[in-house]
Amino acid sequence: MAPGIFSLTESPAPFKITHYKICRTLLTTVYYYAFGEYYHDIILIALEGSLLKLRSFLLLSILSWILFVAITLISSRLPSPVPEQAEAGKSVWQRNNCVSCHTLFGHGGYAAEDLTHITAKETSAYLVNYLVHPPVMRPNNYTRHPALNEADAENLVNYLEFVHTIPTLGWPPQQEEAEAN
Amino acid sequence: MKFFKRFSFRGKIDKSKARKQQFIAQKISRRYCFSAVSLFALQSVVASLGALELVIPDLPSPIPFEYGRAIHLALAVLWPLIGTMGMVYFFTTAELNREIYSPRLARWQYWMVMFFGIGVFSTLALGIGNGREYLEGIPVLYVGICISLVLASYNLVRTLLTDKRNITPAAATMTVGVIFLMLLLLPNTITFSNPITDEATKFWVVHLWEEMAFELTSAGFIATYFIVSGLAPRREVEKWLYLEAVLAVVGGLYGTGHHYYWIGFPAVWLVLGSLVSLVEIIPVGMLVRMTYKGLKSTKIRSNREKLTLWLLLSSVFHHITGASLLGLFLTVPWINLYTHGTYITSGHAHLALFGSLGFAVLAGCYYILSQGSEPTRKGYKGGVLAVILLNSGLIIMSSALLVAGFMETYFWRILGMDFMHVRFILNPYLIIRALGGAIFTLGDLLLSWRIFKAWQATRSYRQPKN
Repeated sequence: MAPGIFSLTESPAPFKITHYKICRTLLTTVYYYAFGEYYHDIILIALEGSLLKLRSFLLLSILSWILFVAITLISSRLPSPVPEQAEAGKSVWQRNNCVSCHTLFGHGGYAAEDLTHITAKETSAYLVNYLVHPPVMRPNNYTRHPALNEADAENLVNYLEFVHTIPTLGWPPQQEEAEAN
Repeated sequence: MKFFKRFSFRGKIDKSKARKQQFIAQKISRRYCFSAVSLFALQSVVASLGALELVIPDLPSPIPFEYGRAIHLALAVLWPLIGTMGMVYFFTTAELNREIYSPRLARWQYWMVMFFGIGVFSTLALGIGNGREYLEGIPVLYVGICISLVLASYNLVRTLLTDKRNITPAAATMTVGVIFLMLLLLPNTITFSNPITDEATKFWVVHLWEEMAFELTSAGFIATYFIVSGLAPRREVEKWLYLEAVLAVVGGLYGTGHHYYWIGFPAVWLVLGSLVSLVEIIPVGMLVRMTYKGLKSTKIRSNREKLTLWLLLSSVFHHITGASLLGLFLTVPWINLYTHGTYITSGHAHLALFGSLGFAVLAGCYYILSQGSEPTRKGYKGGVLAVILLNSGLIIMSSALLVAGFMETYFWRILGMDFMHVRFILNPYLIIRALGGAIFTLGDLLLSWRIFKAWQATRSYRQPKN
C-alpha cells in the first residue's frame, strides 16, 4: 500500500511531534543566548545525539582538555616548595627505579612496603644506615637490598621526609581508624 | 619447534578474497602490526620471568627485578601503541578509500617509534632509567616517541583535509585519538620536581591513553572493520559514534580523578573522580552495542573474520568486566581507601590493559597481517585455542592477584599486620599467578606464531610499489 492517510505506520504522531517541536523551540531560544553561534550543535547533542557533528566533537574535546589541564595544574600545588635536597632525593628515587618494588602514594610495585609515610615510622638515621649498609631482603637468603652511597641515601631520606608532609586525605588507613570504621 | 609447526595454520591464499586495492599506507601498516605482535610475544616471556622471580628466592637473573619489571611495563604501553599506529593507517585508508597524505612520513614515523621504543627497552636492560612507573625510560626517548606521534597526527589531519567533504566519523575519531596520544605523552617528556604533578601527569598516559585515546582509536577501528567487512551497515555503525567519542573524551578526562584521590590533590577529586567514572561506562556500553550488532550479523562467512571477532569479543568481555565494572567498584572512595596500593590494582590493571586494549589491538593486527589469506579449518581451531588459552591465563592470573589483593587489604590495611608477614601469606596466590602467566604465555606464543605464519603467507602477495 502506498503511504497515505490509511497507512498507520506512515501517519505522523501529532502529540509527539508537537512535543518535540516545543522542546526544540524552547531549547533553541535558551541555547542561542547561552552559546551564541554554537547553539545548534548544543541542541544536536541534547536532542539528536545520533546526529552529533564533527565540529561539536572537536569543540567539546578541546574545551574539556583545556579545562582538565588547568584544574589538574591548580590542584597539584604543594603545601610548601620542594627543598633542594629533597629534589636531589627525588632524582635518586627515580635513578634507582625504587618504584618497581615500593609504592609512593600507593603507586608502584607491590613487592615491598609503601614508603609514603615511612619517615613517621623509622628515624632518618635508621633509614640512611639501611640504605648504605643494606640487609638481605626476605624471603631471599643472599640477595640484598640495592645499596646507595651516603650522600644519595641522605637525599633520598630527605625526599621521603618531604613526601610525608603532603596531605593524602587519610590514606593509608591506620589500624585504629579501620577498627573505628 | 615441531609442536609449533602443528599450529602453523599457514592456510591457503585465497586470491578471490584478496584485497581489491591496497594502498601504500596499508602496506606500511603491516610493519607496525608485525612489530607490535613481536613485542607482544616478548612481553609474555619477560612477564613470566618476572612472576617467577617474585616466588623463587635468589633466582639468578641477568636483569635485576626492578629493571625487568620496568621493561614489562614499558612493553605494556608501547606494543599497543605501535599496533595502534598501524591499525589507524590501515583502517583510515580503508574507511576513506584513498591514500594517506604522505606514506613517506608514515615510514619515517615507523623507524622513529621503533628506534626510540627499542631504545627504552635496551637502556632499561642496561640499568639506565628514569624511575617513573610505566614511563621508566629516560625522557629523551619519549621525546622521540612523541615526535613520531606528531608525524602521525600531521599525516592523518592532512589526509582528512585532502577531502574535507568526505570526513567520516570513524576516520575522524581515530585521528583525534592519535592527536590525544601525542598531547598526553608530551608532558611526560618533562621532568617535574613537584611529586604531585609528576604523579598526575603519569596517569595521563597510564589512564588516559587507555580510557580515552585508545578507546577512540579502537572505536574507529571496530566501526571501520564492521563497515569494510559488511558486517553492519555504515549508517547503523556511524549513528552514535561521535556521541560515543565525546563521552569517551569527557568521561576519560575527568574520570582520571580516581587516580588523583590520595596523591595530595584536594578532596573535591574524590567526588569528581567517582561520579565521572560512572560516565566512563556509557561509551563502553555503546562499544558493546556496536560489537553485538556485528556479531549478530549472518554475513560472517570467513574464518579470518570469525577469528578477528573472537579476539574482539574477548576485548569487549574484559572491557565490561575487568576494566569497567571492577574499575567502577574500585573507584568508590571508601573502598579505594583500603584497596589502593595492593595487588587488587595489579589484577585490575592486567584485565584493563591487556584484557580490553591488548585483545583489540591483536584483533586489528591479525586482521591486517592476514589480509589476502584464509586459515584452514584446523588453523582456525588452533587460533581459537590460542584465544582460549590467552583468556584462561589472563583470568587465572588476574583472579589470583585479586584474591591476593583482598587478603592483603584485610590483613595489612584492616588488621594492621606486618607487611612482610602478609607478603608470606600471599605467596601461594603469587604462585597461582605465575601458573596463569604460563598458560597466557603459551596462548601468546601460539597466537603470535599463527599471526607470523599468516604474515609469511601473505608476504609475497603484496602490491607493487607505486
